[in-house]
Amino acid sequence: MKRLVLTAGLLALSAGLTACGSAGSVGTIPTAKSSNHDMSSMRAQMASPGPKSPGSHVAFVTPRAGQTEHSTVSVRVRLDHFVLDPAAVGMSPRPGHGHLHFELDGGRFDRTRYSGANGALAAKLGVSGMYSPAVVPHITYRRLPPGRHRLEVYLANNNHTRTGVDAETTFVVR
Amino acid sequence: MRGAPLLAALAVAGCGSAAGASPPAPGPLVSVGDFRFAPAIVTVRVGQVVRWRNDGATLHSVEGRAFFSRALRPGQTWSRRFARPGVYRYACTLHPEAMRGTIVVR
Repeated sequence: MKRLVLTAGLLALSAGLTACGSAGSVGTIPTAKSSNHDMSSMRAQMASPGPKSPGSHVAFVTPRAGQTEHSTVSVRVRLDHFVLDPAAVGMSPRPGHGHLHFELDGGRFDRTRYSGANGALAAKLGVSGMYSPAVVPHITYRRLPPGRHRLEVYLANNNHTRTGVDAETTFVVR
Repeated sequence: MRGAPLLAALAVAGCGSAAGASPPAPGPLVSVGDFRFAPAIVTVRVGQVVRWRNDGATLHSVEGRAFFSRALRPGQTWSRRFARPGVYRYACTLHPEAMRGTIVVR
């Protein structure tokens, strides 16, 4: 059931993106041609805030801080006064509406291999290795190596800018 | 061995297209802003390189049918050589509703 909900959410997000980009080529599976990204600079710039979302709040339900996990980690967040709006992804900001950006270890594990369909969507958007977008309040990371990991979540405006509302937690993979 | 860096540079400038031996002709710069491409329509000659520079404050990208910059951070540039005539429409994958552009290659 969880997988069904996640799949439906991602399909909705993907559909929203494709619909938004109906002019010609957007919507095709992208292929990176060249890049020389400085990831630390990228992360720094991604902190640039967009419109605020007053009253909104996000907190991790799982994993709890310091919790020990296996290599597959199920993440769930609780949202207050924030509406996940798959159909509006990529469109103009609307206060209190948007989606989520999960960032594990600075984006290192925000790739298809680790965050599955969310990572695939990140690749489609061009943000693979930076964050995993989500339109449902949960995400699953797989194949994580042992050690301590730092997970952040950001409430993102429809246009992917940050609302300034975020949360973070750490967990340990044994 | 001395030619290796030059060859590597040419390969990058070609950005995946069939680059010839001659260096690519300089082409226009498209400013990628929050949230528009300027100019939105650019006309170039075959073989010219188009550059995009993110002049905005957030991430943007350039994606067409056969090219994709991935996300560009503010200040970052990306370029592509257009080796064949045609009309190449593109958009920002992150803001496809607002940010669309066209390269006309003659």
